[in-house]
Amino acid sequence: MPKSRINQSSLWRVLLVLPGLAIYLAMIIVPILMCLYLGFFDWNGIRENLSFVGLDNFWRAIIDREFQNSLKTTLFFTIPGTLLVNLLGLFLAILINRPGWLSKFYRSSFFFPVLISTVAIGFIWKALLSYNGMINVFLVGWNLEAIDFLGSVVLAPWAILFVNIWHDVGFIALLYLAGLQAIPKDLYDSAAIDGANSWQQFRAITFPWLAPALTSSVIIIFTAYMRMYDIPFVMTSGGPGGATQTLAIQTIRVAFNQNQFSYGASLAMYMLVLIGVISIVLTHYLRKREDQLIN
Amino acid sequence: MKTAVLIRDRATSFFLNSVMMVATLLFLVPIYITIVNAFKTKVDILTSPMDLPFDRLTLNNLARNIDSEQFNLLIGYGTSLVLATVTTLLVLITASMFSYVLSRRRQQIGYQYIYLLLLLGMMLPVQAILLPIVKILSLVKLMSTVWGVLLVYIGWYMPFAVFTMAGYIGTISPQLDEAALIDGANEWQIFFKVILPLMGPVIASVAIYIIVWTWNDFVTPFIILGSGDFYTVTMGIYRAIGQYTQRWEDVFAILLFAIGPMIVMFLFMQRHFMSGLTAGALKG
Repeated sequence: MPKSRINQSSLWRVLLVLPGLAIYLAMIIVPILMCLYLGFFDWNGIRENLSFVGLDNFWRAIIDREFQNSLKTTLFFTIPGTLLVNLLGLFLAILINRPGWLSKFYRSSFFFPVLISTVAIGFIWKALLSYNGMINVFLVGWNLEAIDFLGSVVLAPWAILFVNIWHDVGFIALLYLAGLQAIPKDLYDSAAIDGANSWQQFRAITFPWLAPALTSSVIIIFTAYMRMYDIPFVMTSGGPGGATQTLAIQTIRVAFNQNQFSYGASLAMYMLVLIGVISIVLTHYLRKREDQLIN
Repeated sequence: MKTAVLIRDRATSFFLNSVMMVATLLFLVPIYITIVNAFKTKVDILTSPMDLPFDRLTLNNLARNIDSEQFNLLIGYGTSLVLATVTTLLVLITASMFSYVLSRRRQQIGYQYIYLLLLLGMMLPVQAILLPIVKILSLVKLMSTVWGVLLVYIGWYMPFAVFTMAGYIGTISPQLDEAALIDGANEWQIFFKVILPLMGPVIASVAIYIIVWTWNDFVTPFIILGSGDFYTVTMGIYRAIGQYTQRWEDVFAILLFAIGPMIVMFLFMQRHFMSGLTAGALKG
């Protein structure tokens, strides 16, 4: 009697887990393993037979100038991007948190771009920043010289970075705002009685209390920017001359446009390892920092 | 002395409000330009993008782009709507059941492996699965179909949904389960009759995320649906705008079609959007 009871209960458990787990394994885990496997072969995505080439694809990536360039571009977007989105987000959150009848209006306007697709955002800013775009219509109207924001090797990466920050900063500001509002008000009152000025209050109370929000925000932006695709793809298609080509854009282009499926697979594996290792280290460090700041 | 402090406070407050005003304009002006220029003629756009010449506004741009060869609005909205709702429903059902067992049995070794497998999915670049998935989907004849995208989405959003929901279930006391168990309920019944009814807030939060993500996603349907009969709104605007890069009156009309539904949703539900998205990110 107890035995059949146990079997029955594990049957129900399997029924609860199985639908989700099965789809996850079939659509995510099996493809990752296949991607790794395909990286060791030479395959164009169409042919029937695969020929084993060992680590060739992985070596090739290391000496591939284009890959080095995409990696550099991706890091150019990711490192300043993560810092700037978090700094500006925190700054906006502190300003929104001040009492005032406009604060709700500010919050909604910063947040709205989060809901628009990055493809639409890319096209909106392309319409503004193109050589015959709206901003240059203004500049020419004011008798200034038109600027080729998206056609210049120097300006295009900054333009792409700017548009990404524009899209994400409202969301991050909202996360910090939720963190700010969780801080008990009497902490500030007693600090003020002790004679702490606003900078000291920020260092001693606000900043430590925001540690969990900071962990989430840094990880969210870091992983998103390392995988950045839509905005540079739409605005510049990775150009001019590869100046805005990210790892994600190169991987898709190599695999689907140049039909070098297995080389693309090896690039995707590099992306996976890079993002995985850095986010694990980063999460570990930020969580430890949370503990230190709170104690 | 007191008045000096008051004046200084007023001055900082005025300064900070000005900073916020400038920042707000930076966010609203691009949206404003998109909306008004969708209703203007080419000449009016190019003479002054910011103006709103009431007597010369036109609906021609919108009308001309409702049904173009690259982007039929009905197909775009229909495909995106079906994908967003069906994905959200199926993820909510499968992930909530999954997360219940995972949350209650996380000490068991088997479930710890499942936990690690899900964690892997959180940092995955979509490229790493898209390449082989094309092969898998063509094998089962689901390539270029909405069903193919749907299956990928369910897998893709599973880790986020399971982790967020498992975190929430962790705050529900296991004594409720035990009480129901003593009354003779099995785990299936406990989940559906006791736990699920308590999960309202987290279900809303996960649902909002998945709706926004699926509606806005580009690369997955772009690769899987390819040049087939069906396309999402994001693919539609890419196809339609790609051909006329400089015909601004058409570009803005198409962009208004793309962002219109989100503007309307936001105006009606902004409170839910903001609190739901914040809760999901901080607990997940």
